[in-house]
Amino acid sequence: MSRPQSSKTEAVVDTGEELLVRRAAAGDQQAYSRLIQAYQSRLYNFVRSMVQNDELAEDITQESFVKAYFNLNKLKEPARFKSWLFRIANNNTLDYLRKKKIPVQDVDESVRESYVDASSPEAGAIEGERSAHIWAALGKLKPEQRNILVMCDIQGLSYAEIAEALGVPFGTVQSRIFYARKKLKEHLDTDILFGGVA
Amino acid sequence: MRPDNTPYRNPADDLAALVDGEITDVQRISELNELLGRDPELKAELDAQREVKLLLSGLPEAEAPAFMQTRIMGEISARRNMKRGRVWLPNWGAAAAAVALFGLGYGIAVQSGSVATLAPQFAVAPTGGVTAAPPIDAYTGTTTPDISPAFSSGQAQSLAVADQQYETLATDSSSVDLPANASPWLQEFIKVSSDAHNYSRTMRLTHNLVSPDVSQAVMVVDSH
Repeated sequence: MSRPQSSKTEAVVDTGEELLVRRAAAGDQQAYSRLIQAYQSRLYNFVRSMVQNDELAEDITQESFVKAYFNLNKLKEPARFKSWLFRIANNNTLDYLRKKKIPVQDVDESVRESYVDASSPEAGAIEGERSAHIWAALGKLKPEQRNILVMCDIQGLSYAEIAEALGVPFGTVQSRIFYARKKLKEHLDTDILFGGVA
Repeated sequence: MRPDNTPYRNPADDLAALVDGEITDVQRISELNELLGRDPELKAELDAQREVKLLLSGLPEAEAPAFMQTRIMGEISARRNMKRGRVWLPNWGAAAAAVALFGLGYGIAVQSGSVATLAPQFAVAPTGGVTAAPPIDAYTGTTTPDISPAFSSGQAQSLAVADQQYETLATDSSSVDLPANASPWLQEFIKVSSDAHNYSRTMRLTHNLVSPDVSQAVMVVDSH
């Protein structure tokens, strides 16, 4: 699986991202379109990991990009676009989770199915089951713990970026990640997961 | 010290950062490694952190839905247009409605022979509320009775007075001679215009609205 940091697309975009942000803020829709292209998968996956539902994730991601566009003039430092975008998506997601009170263990079936590898049904089924198990455990975490783990371990954001996205000090990020991982481990079935991994 | 200049706390707090390669202080890394060598519990914590990170980073990611970019840009365009519409439509809409309704109402009033001349004070007359002196009826040139105290006694009474006034005007205007050979849509158009005119005039009479601003009168009716 390719992680965002090693993505070729992102590397290309990174070089001119600040310029794209400035142009988009000045009303250049094509520039913003390129920013969407660069971040849509990451943002969608972040939201999807949080709400664990494909359709909701799509709606929230779309709304986050739209909100970001109309607030681009408020972004003082274009270089921080990524963490700012994640901040908007995170706030939108938390708002949604608070309002709707989604049951934490209600993992969307389509999300569960997406982990099953069709090319090798048997291995795929085991891998899919394992992923679904991790996914379910992640869903049991409080949203405030889930978001930080998804940002760090799934989306590969640095602590500094997470601190900006969540508006908390670096030390708090460090501490929250530690306790969120600890809590996640408690939720995981060690017999299946850690036995299987070893 | 950490990047945000906060002091280090207990070693466990730094385990996540150590796993994530977020500690750049070489001395601190060395201290932690020493501690980990001596403390099996701390080492177990570190391993657990690593395992969880490994599991999460191994989760497959989904592709963004097809055409998401297009949909987002479409939504942005739609909202931009909506924002523009919000700025322009009410102004143009209100102005056009006021001009059209006033023109039509005035035309019908001319037909019914109830209009004398537009009084000079028409253009500078107050646009609403209670006036110091009884206003002049722009249509008849006579003084409009100031009935605003009746309104202060209650909205129901206010509405009753307005209704009564409207009924009177509607009865009067029903005597307007419509062209016999007029097509049905024109007759309907004249009727609707007449109604608008009567509303406007009712508001002018019952609320001391001397100004012929029909849209304002409609707003007052609406607010009641």
